Amino acid sequence: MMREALALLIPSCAIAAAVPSLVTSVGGHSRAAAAGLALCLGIGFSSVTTMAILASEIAIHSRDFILVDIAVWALVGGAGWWFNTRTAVTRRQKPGVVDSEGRAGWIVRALVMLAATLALMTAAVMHTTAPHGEWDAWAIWNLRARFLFRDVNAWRNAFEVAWSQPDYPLLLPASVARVWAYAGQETTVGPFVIAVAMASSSVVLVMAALDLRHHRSWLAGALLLGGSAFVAQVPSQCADVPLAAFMVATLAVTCGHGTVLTERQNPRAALWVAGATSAMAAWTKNEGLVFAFLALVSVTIIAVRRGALRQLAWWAAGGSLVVIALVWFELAVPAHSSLLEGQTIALVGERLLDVDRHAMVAALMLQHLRGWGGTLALALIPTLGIPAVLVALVRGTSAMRLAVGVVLMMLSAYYVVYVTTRFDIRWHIEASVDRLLTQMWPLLVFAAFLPAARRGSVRPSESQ
Amino acid sequence: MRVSMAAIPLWAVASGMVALALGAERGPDPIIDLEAECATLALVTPGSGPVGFLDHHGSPDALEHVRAYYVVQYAFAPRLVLRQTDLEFIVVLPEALRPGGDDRLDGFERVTGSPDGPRLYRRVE
Repeated sequence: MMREALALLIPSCAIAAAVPSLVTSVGGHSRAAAAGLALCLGIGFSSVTTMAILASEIAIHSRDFILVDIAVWALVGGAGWWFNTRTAVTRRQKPGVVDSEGRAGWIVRALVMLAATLALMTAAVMHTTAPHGEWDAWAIWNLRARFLFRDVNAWRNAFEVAWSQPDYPLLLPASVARVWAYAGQETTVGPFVIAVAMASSSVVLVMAALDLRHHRSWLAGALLLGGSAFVAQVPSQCADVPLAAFMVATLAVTCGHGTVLTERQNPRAALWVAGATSAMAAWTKNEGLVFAFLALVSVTIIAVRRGALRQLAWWAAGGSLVVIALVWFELAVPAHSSLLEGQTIALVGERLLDVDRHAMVAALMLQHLRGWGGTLALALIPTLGIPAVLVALVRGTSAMRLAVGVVLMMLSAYYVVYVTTRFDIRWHIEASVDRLLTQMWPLLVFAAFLPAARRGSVRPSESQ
Repeated sequence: MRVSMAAIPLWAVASGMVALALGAERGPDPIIDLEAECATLALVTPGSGPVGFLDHHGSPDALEHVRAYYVVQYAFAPRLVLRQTDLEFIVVLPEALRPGGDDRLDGFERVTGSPDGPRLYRRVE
C-alpha cells in the first residue's frame, strides 16, 4: 500500500510546492484544505501526464514510465518552488470571529473523527469482500486500467468493448494504471487507495470551505460521513466518488469561506483551481461535462456582474491542460455513447412531451431520493435539501444560491436524461440513480451549510 | 443549534457502526474465484488476438451469464473476448455447456482448466 500511496503523493506534493496559493484558495488559512486540493489536482493532472507518456509509446508497466513520471513531477515541483521563492506569497489569516472550542466543541470534533474512523473501517472491510470493486468498477474502470497497464500497443482495444461504456473518459483508469506502475504490479489496493483519497478530499474540502474554526463545519463533516450510502461507494471503486470530489472542490473554491464569491481580493488562485477541478470532473465521467458547463456559466455570470471578464483567463488556464486531454480523447477514440445511440431531435422531443414518461421518472426519482442514505440515514436528501432550497430562496447569499442552484440543475439534467433515455426507464434509473445521488451528496451538504457558515462569520452569537 | 450539535455527530457515529456491521456481514464477491481462474487460463493463450467465448446454451443474456462473460473479458484484457466460437481459442464455463454433450465444441480440444471451473479450448481442425 505504501507504493500506491507514494504514487498519489508525488504529484500532490509537486503541485503543493508549485502552487502555494492553494493554501489561501479555500478555507482561508486551512492547510487541510490545501492538502485536499493538492490531492485532487495531483490525481487529475497525473492522469493527463500518464496518458501523454502512454501516447508516446512508453509502457506504463515499464521502469521508463516511472522515471519519466518522477522527472515530470520533480520538474513541476522544483520549477514551482524556484519561482515561488522569488515571488512574495502572503498567507493571510482570515479575520472573523470563531466559535469557542470549549468542551462541547471538542466532543463534536472527537465524534466526527470517530465517524471518519468508522467510515474508513467500513470501506476497508467492504474492500476485503469485493477487492475488485462493484460491477461497474471491474467492467468499466479497472478493466480499462488493465488495458492501459498491460500492453502499450493494445490499450486502444479497450474502446472496442462496446458494453464497457467506451465513451467514458480516462481520468480514473489512467490513475489506477499509474498507481499500479508504482506498485510494480496490478493490485486491488491501488484503485481502493485512489477512492479513499478522493473521498477524504471531499470531506476535508467541504469542512474547510465551511471554515474549520466553526462548529457548523464539523457538523457538515458528520452529516457527510453519516450518509453510509456515500461511504459504501468508496470501496465500489467506481468513478462517482472521484467525480464528487472534483465537483465539490470546484464549488468549495468558488463559494466557500474566503473564496471567489465571499472574498473579492485576488481570486486568481481560486479561479485557476476551479477551472482545473471542473475540467477534471468532465475528464472523469460524462456527468462531469454537465457540471463543468454549469460551473463555467456560473463563473462567467459572476465575472460579467463584476466587470472582470479578464479573470476568466485564470479559469481557462487552470482547465486548459485537462481540456486538451479531453479533446484528444474525443478525437482519438472512436467511441460512441450508448445513451445517444439512435437518438434524434424528433425522438427526444417526442419523449419530452410524453406525460407518462415524466410521471414515471418523477415517481422513481422521488422514491430513490427518499430512500438514499443507508440503514440509519433514510430520507437524508429531502431532509437536508428542502430546507436548503427554502433558505436559499428566502435569505441565501449569492454563494449559497449558486451552490444550491448547481445541485438543482444537475438533478434537473439527470431528470431530462432519464425522460429522454432510449433504455427502459425503470432499469436505467434503478441502475444508476443511487450513484448519481452519491455524486450530489457532498455538494448538497456543502450547499446546505453555506448560509450557516456565512451567518456564523458575521454574527457569531447566532452560530451557537 | 445545541441539539444538532449533539445529535448529528452521535447519529453519524451510530450510522457508521451500523454500516460497519452490515459491511462485515457481506459474503465474498462471486467474481473473485472466477477472475482468478480465468487469469490462469489467460497465461496459456497468445499475448494478442481475440479469444472466443462459448455462450450459455439456454439463456446467454441472463444476468449471471452476462456477468461471467464480462469477468472473462476482465481477466483476459488486453485481448478482446468475443462471444463467438470461430476463433482458435475459446473460453468455456461448465454451466454454458448443453447437458449430455455440446456440439458447439466439435473440432476443439481442451487445453487446460479445472472440471468445475472455466476451461480453455483450442481448435484442432
